[in-house]
Amino acid sequence: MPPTAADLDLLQGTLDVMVLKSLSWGPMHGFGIAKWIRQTTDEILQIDDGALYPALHRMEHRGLIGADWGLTENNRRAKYYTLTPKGRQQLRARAASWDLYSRAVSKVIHATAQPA
Amino acid sequence: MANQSAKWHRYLRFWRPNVAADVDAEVAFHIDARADELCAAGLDRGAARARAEREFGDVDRTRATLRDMDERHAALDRRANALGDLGRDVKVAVRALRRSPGLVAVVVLTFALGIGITSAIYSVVDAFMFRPLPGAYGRELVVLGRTDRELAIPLPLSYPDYADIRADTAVFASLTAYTSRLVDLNTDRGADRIWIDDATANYFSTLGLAPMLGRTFSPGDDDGELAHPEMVLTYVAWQRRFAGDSGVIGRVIRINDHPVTVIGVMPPSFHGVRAVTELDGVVPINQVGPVVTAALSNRRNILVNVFGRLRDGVSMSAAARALHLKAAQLARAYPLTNANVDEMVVREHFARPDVSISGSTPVVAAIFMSLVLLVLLVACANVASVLLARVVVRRRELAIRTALGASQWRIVRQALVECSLLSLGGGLAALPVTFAAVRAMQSIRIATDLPIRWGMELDGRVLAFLALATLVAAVVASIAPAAAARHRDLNSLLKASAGNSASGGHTRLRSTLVIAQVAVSVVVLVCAGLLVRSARNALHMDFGFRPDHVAMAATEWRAPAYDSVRATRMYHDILAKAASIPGARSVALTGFLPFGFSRDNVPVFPIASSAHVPVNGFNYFYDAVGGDYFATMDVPLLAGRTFVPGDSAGATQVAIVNDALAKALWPGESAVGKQFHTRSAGGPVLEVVGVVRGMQDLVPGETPHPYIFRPLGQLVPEEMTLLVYTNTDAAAALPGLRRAITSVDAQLPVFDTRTIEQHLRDGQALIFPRLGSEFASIFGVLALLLATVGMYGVIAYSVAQRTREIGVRVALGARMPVILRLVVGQGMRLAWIGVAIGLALAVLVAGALRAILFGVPPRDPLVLTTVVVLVTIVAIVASAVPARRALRIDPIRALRDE
Repeated sequence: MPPTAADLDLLQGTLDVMVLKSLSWGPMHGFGIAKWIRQTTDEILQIDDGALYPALHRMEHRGLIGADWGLTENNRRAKYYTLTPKGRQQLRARAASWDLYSRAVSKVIHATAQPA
Repeated sequence: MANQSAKWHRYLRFWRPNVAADVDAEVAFHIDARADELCAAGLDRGAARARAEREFGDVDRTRATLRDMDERHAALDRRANALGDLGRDVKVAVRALRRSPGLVAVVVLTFALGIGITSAIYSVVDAFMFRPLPGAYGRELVVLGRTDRELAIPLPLSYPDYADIRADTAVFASLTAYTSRLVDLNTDRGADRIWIDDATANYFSTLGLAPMLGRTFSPGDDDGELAHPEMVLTYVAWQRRFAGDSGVIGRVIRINDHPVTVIGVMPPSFHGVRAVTELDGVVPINQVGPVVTAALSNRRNILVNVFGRLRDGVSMSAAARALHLKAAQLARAYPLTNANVDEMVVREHFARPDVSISGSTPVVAAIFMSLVLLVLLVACANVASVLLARVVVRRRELAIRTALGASQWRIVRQALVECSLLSLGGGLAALPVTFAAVRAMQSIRIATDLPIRWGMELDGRVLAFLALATLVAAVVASIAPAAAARHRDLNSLLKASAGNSASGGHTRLRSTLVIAQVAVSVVVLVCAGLLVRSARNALHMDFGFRPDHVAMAATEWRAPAYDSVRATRMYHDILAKAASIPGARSVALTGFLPFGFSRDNVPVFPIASSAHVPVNGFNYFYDAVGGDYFATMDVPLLAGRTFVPGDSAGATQVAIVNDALAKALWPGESAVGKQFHTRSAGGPVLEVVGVVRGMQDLVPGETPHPYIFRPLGQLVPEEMTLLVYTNTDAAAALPGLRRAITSVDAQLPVFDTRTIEQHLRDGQALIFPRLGSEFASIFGVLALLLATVGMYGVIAYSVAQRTREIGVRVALGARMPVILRLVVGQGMRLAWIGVAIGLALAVLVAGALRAILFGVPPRDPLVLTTVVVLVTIVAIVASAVPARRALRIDPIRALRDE
């Protein structure tokens, strides 16, 4: 089933946070980011690699991440993304609200009291 | 390592990121890397690649999406950058300019004057020469002219020739004939004289112009005589004579005592098709009396001005060829009248105000536009020199900025932005100047016989010119400063101390600008001086008749109140009454005044003449005169007698000829007693009874043309002008002339009451030289003013530069005269070089003016000397103010300030 607009919003917000987080350790190219997300989520979140790039470019244009061409350890040209100060700030804000959100949803899901 | 590559890429980005290649490379890298990973995990190459692509999703669409996103972002980025840079430059420039309000004032004022006056003058040139006539086809109109092998200038056409060309020539989409005349608009108070065009019914459809009220003519409204007495009013006439009353449509008014129905009112843009005159109305030809039926079939009668439109796709040269063919055909068909006749076609704006000057209009337009541009250039040179001074003063700052890494382009751009801001301000300030100047010119009323219309308006065309002039001014004025700002001689600049080094190059550039300005002013002033002298001379030159102490008033009679017998008696009564005007020495009547707006000619076939007579005879101007015409006009009788009362209608038909005619027909013989036929080879015979000296008639300074005078009675013109030679002030006699006419018949119209001086000054004789000299004088004064500012600027600047040097000199005991000579001498040197160059140029330009100069040699010593003296005085004044400042330099402070 193709994702609905609401799904995409959720996905996009989530994807942005994951990208920002992945870059918090240092510059990384798109392939590396995709790989890191796949491994870190134990391959639970299946993101089309193709969907990652529009997100990266959008975030670059909005100044959350910077981009520059560099060489990989195999000496191949690749586009490296870095976290900008603005992106780091965004990551902090998003992470905090994500915690709040997930705690709230978790409370609901594990609730024992029946609605009055 | 990654950093190095990033740097290399950043250089590429300087030009423009290659979005497509970047996206492709990024996606390719991802798929390659994933495929490598899968290979390492054991898949074979092909399968690994396929899976990598599958995992990526729709590769092509992703690529397209990314490209699109990046391109849009890059475009936004570029625009923001450019705007940001410009904004920063403007901010810096505004801050810099605010620190020097004096400079801003001088530059903006100079621009405002230069651009404003230039635009105002352009509005005149535009109105007279460039602005198309109103109507959908105003831009496409052409004018036809008739050329005659015996005449130097093109003339209007005869009506039959027009009709044949219109009927047979396939090159014209529409062709209209019209003739202008003064008629009486009969009102309760008497009669107003108004100008109307008698035109073929397609007049307005050729223009493509619709009426504001009512209708225009329908096809066939020009058929027959007096069958469709109707009139279309111009907006001005509607406002002025009918108070803008919309009930005027359908009203019957009286023109020359004939009933005429008003059928329409044209929009305000329409003033007739002559572009420079004010018309009151248009009537279909031959529909408002007196009838001209005979003239409409007479190929000899040069009656109608013809304008029209070419068919789509027909070139001017094709139209000209078709007209030549048609003219040749007419010459074969009507050898008596058309043997020497050819037809020509020109664009309408080249035939303003009349087809007869179609050759010189472009020349006059070019001269005026060059004057306009010269004045603008002088203004630009001034601004350039002021800005240059600024760049030079700031050289140290600029040098430091360059040394600190500011790019050349950035510094040049800063200079350009400053100059653009200043010229923008100048352009804006020029608006009120233009407005005021146009208003001032509109209020000039030059009394003329023709209803000349000052058509200048501050419209889109003039504003467009103003904008263009501002742009040109900005570019021209910024070249020198920008070039100077780019100049980099860092070491010498940084080493030199700011105050005392006027580096050679820039001073030379400024000096060159001043020299150029002075030279241009000299050229403009010399032209102005020559034209002024020429107009003065024309006013006082010998036209071959009495130029003063003659009062004039015109009247005319119409059937059925009069016929030629009654009219003859009426004219003689007027002469008798006029003779008793106090101070009257002699009185006369004339049908055509020299330098008047109408004249007529007649074919002449001499008898017993050794001259070779053309098939059609000689075409000579003629006039009917009564009273003591030759005494009144102070025209000497060379042989024979003047007219006597016995030369009446029933007596022998006699004529007096001028010496030019006598010499042309009977060279070496006495013309008295000779005879000639008129109208045709077998026409009426006239006997020459006297020979008088020739008068100038068409162009001031011309050699008189052959001319025939007939006695009043044997010829009775419908319109005649009463002339009274007085021993008192001619203007004081004018009411007497009016009374002399109305006391004979109160119904007779009296018009054109004026002195002969007014007739010459305001009439055809001198109007063009006068207009020319007035405009050229304005240019001259303006150019001189601007040159003064320029000279003052350069010398004041140089004094400021040399403060230290002058201080040292003063400290070492230099006396006042030495300092004065130092400062003023510098200004004078520049002025003299400029004057020398200007004089050389002026002699060249004045040579081109020769054709329109009356009695002034192009190298008129008086004009040249006056201009040289004037410019010298201006140079002294311009140097004197800075010199005073130099004298007050305190040596101690000058030496301390460093």
